[in-house]
Amino acid sequence: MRGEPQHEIVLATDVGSTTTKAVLLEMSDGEWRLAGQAQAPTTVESPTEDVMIGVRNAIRRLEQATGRELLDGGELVRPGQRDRGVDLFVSTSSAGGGLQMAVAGVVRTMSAESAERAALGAGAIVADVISIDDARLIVERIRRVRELRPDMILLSGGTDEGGVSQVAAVAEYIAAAKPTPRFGGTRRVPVIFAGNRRAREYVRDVLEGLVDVYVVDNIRPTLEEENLAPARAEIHRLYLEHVMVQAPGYPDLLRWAEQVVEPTPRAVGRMVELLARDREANVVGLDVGGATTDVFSVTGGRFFRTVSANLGMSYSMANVMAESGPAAVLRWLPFDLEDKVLSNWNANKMIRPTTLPQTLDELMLEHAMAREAIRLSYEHHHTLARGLKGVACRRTLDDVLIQPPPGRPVITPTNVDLVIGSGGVVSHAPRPSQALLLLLDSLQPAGITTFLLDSGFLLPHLGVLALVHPAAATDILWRDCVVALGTVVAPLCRPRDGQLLARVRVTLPAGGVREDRLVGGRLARMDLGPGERAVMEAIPVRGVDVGAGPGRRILREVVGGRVGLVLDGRGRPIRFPADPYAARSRLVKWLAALDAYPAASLAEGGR
Amino acid sequence: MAVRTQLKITPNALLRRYRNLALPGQVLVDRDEEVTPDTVVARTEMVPGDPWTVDITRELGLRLTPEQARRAILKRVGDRVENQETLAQYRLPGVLGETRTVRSPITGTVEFVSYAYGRVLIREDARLAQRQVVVNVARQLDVWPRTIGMYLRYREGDEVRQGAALACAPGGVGLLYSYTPVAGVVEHVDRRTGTVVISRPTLPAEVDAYFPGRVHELVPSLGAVVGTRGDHVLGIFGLGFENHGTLRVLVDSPRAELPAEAVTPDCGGKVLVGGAYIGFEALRLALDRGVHGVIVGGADHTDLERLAGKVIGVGMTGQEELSLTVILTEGFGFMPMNRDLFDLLAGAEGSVVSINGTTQVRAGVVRPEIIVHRGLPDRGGGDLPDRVIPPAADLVPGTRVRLLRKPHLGQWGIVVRAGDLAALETEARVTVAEVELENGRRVAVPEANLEVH
Repeated sequence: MRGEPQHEIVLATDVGSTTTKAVLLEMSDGEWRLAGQAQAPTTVESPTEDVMIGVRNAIRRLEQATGRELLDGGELVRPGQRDRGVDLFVSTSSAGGGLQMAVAGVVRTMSAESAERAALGAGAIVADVISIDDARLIVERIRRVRELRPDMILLSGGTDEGGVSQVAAVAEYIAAAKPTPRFGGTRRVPVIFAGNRRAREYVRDVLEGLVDVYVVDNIRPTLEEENLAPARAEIHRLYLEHVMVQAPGYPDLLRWAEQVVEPTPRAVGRMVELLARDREANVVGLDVGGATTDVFSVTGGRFFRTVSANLGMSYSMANVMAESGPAAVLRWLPFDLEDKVLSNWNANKMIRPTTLPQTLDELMLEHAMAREAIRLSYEHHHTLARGLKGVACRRTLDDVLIQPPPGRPVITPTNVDLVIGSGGVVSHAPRPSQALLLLLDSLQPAGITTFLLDSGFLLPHLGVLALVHPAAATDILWRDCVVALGTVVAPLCRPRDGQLLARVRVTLPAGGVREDRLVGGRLARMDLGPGERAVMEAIPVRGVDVGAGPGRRILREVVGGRVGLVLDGRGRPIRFPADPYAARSRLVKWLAALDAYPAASLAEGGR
Repeated sequence: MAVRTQLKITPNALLRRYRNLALPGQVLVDRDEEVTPDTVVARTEMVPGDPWTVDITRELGLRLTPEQARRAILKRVGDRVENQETLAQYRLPGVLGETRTVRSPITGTVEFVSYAYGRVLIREDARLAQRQVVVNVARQLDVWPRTIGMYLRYREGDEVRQGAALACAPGGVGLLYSYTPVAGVVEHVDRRTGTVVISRPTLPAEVDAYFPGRVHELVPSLGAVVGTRGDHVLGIFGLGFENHGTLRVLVDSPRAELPAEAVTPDCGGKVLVGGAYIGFEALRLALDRGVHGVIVGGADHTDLERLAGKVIGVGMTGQEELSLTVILTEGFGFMPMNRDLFDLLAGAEGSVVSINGTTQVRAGVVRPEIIVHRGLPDRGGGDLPDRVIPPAADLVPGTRVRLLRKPHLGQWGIVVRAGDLAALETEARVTVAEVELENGRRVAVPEANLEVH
């Protein structure tokens, strides 16, 4: 964090794997606002291999959009003047595969898992996890580290008073691999040692001369304690000082940004944490990118972040289908499509990632794929967002009732209060109800959940801006970035079609009352506009849980949004009829209920 | 902003390639020698040099601290070690302390030493690797030789993987295991001596010239640099590794489909050129009839997966065990081939072409390549010129473009006007260009969906 800044015009870029986004933020009449935004294809890959070409292209488009001169001879005009230049430039980046790390530990489900969480928390993609107890031969582990060519390695293992030999053995594997960095060059791979402090000297001896060793506090000083912050901070420092400068074009980006460049997941994660604090709520955040999908959660104040490396909407599209299978994608389409056509469509998007859906069919197809990419990434998130394993703790009756047992996922279907979606496919969805359905269908939270949208795709920019100018980031977050989509009430049950699940009564502040019923298999919408707040009373039938427990009435203030208040009686998990025609007809009703696509395209079950 | 085509055509280029073995062997060509694609440049025949793990603590029958292990293990990483040479030695404490020794079971190079665990990993010298390895199971399990059959987990003829538990028997405390030091086949179980003989597969390895050309330079023990002159094309997506053959064009238009009937028995050994599409039946027939390669505008993704026998999820290919190499020049589905490329290939009918389907769509992009041989280079010729193509292109009226998305997928046209904001059928508002298609119809297309050629 720097001293009190005096900036009035800030330029921020986010270099994604597919698209480079640029936004201009300005102080006007004492308030920060979004002055303009533009984008251009990212240029980190062959044949250009210079990220700055895409950055400059995006900035030139921003100049056209805002009429403000920002570049002069390819260099930024600084400081900002009345109608030209900027005071501050900041950037995030996930291009070129982002920060790719290997992590190593002694026990896969303990120190190695903590190391994985630390790396993911720092916004890295974890390419592999090496541990003493993995099933591979020594030589395979060594070969794997050698082949990975990671940007950085995080080595952990052992509690501070524990034995040395096992973590020392893992260090020896790394030494034997003599890892080389991804972008070549003469520099050595940084290895962060965050393990047993008694092993530090040995680890230094083993790795000296082969890699650059940096020592931080132990990630698991005791079995009961996880201390991720020092390792995360060191990862970030090394990312800026040692890794980014190797990537094509990045030294210029770092120079422009005066070192304020962050991995995109880290910046977005900061905003999700800010949102959770601001709203005092459990939050799930999503950033659906071209190559990766990042999931963030804050539950009970505890923050988790995962980056699913091969689940995304362009380069990784074919892999999303390979993992989900065509049937899982096709169930979200209101029309017939041959597997072959779906597969070609995916593969073409993979090789030409910057193209846009032009017809409604293709838009629906992209949304179907997005649902599966988010669903798979959320499943991945659940595997890491959980309590510590290996903890032998004494638990009181209260603990048993309110805390998940060790090693269990911390997110449950009913404890998500707020969901925020970001990323091209979500932020640029032409209708708000499309964005809401993408998030709702893939995450399937139960109880009462409010949905927000990063409408301008600004979270990465604001996340990095918050480092320098937190007030500006918060101002713009609520004024220009976040849009409320609405609140969803979804009982946790497996209902029969047409079964009455709950009676819902909404009392508006002006005094009006609206009533509806939550019915099994049905999706319905009640008007409750952006900024409107109302008191909702839901009285479930016996055995149905709308957030207060089975059969228990709930009375709560709910917020409206561009879609409104949604009554989701589809049950959890959402089930489709076995008959494909009935399934499609059901889907068409759901889409029509929220007016997700033009009615003509949904008539007769789509085209 | 439109994108530049990734299809890259470089006519009449001078090319040079390293054609090297992975391990040292015999170089079979001379400098300035003319070679054909089949000419073997270098060859070696060897048993794969497996890494052997020697568990020093187990062999010594001692539990050592890292410091003790550092003193006991006499070899260091990078040291060469001969078969039966002393690897480690440890003298037990006391005036009459016994000295225990561990010897290397093979000749090779020490690749890894774990002092923490007391293990040494030796990379076997592939040229000296023993074809058969004898494992003394009876001694390792401390059982009578004649009873080893009771403890073995594999029978004669079974394949074993390196590190697999070959046999296991109850020991003083828990179970004792005998692990296979190498991968191979259980050749013989000798109940008289209590040993098991494992035969290791030999691996002949050779590298050919890949294209017709001239040896420019020799690389001792590994291979050579071979040069040629030809048209060089980078496609969009491929399947299969290096291949070559005589070019045969089977269609008369870049918009035509390559029908299965056209793949006649005499296509064996050839590289076939199609137009816009090839179906699975034609691909299967091409494989069965020994066709070496297919160059075509498009094919179905699922058909390529069926042909490769694997899921193509993240766009990395080239390692498929296929005798047929497939190169897509435009994309997936029905995709008319670029007219310039089609004309180039049609004009080269009968020429020798070399192709390689290896593709990587991101993180160090690799595109499949086609080399149409045009003659031998002069001695000491130059390298392939490298043109840098900007990935984004501003559209101006008159620019020839291809449309990349439905409803005009694969069609060609000329830009009439560009830079307007307009709403699409999807209701999204984006920058569009007005394009006149080849049939004279004018359509508005997002600039992002146009490819400039």
